[in-house]
Amino acid sequence: MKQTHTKTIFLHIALILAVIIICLPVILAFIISSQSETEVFSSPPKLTFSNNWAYNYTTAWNRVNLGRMMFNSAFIAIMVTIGKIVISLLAAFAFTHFEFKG
Amino acid sequence: MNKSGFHNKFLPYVLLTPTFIILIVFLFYPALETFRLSFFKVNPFSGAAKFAGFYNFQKIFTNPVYLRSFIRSAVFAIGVVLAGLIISLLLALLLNQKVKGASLYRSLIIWPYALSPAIAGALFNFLFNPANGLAIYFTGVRTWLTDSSLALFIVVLAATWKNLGYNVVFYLTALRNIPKDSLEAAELDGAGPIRRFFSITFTFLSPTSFFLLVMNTIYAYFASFGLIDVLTEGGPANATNILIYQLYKDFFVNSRIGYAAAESLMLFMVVVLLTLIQFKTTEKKVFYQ
Repeated sequence: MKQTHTKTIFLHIALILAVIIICLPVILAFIISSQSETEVFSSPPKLTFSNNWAYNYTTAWNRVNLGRMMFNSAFIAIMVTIGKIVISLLAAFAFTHFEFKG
Repeated sequence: MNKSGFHNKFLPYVLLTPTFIILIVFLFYPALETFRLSFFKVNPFSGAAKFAGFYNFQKIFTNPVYLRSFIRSAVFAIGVVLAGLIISLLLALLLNQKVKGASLYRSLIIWPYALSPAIAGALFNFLFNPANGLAIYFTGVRTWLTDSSLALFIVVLAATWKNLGYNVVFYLTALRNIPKDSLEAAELDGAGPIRRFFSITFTFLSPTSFFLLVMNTIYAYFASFGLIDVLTEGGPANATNILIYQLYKDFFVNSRIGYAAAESLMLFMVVVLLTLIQFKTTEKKVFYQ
């Protein structure tokens, strides 16, 4: 199959469009996270990065004790992973190395 | 009894004990308890249960809110499954082409699957909330989340978006596994690209489509709670109140324990029934290599 030049360009355009559409919600949330309260509620909406990063992120971090939550999530994730692997390893070992009646 | 030279009679049971303890404590016992409670009237304050026969079931099926959530659930599931499968198949076909940077495009398209449903809900809230949603400015429509059919549409959109990565991964793998010679043979026989797609690619994809059909139905019925809770809380006027959300509200908000148990039993039966129907009707048409 020959790939013509126009076909390649068309494919890239289609792929880039798909990526933009799919990533849009996340990109917008990222942009909003850099804006101040007034910029968020401004009309027409401001769609460019602003310089309010530090304030937003430190406020979020302090107000809901994000550090503690991060630790909790990581702790749960690690424990669940270890627990699941150990338990299913034992069960899988039992099933593969021994024959059960029935 | 032993295949590998272990002569301990008890060892396999010892190894299986942790699995069974967890299954019994966290799966079998709660499932049986739910089944039992669905036939009881439970006092939310004392926890005292009184046998009530089919009272709870009679109650849920005469409750218009519940019946409405039944229908909304079905519409939601059909929307999520159809949109999810069609869009992800198109994306997979696009990603399956040989272009430079294909793996970068692939990662960028698949990664929203790594977000949790609650985060997907929050992101779509930024776009569509009635106060300062960006979509309102660009479309001029203000009622994205306050009009019943539009809200349902947005919830379907968000749920589909969140699950796209999963579907694309499976379709992409399936596309890679289509034997090249079948496609070449068809091309030599004079079949055009559209004909080739429908009679060959589609056939080879049927097992994957069937698997995704079942998985997406289960996803739509069970895994969309966080999304709904963050995005619409079942509103406006119960328009996006699907079965799982109604169940949550009856148990945790309204404390109707027996009633919620009956609902969870119904939800479970709906999903089992749908899966069975899908196996009975669709599986015959699935072509396995």
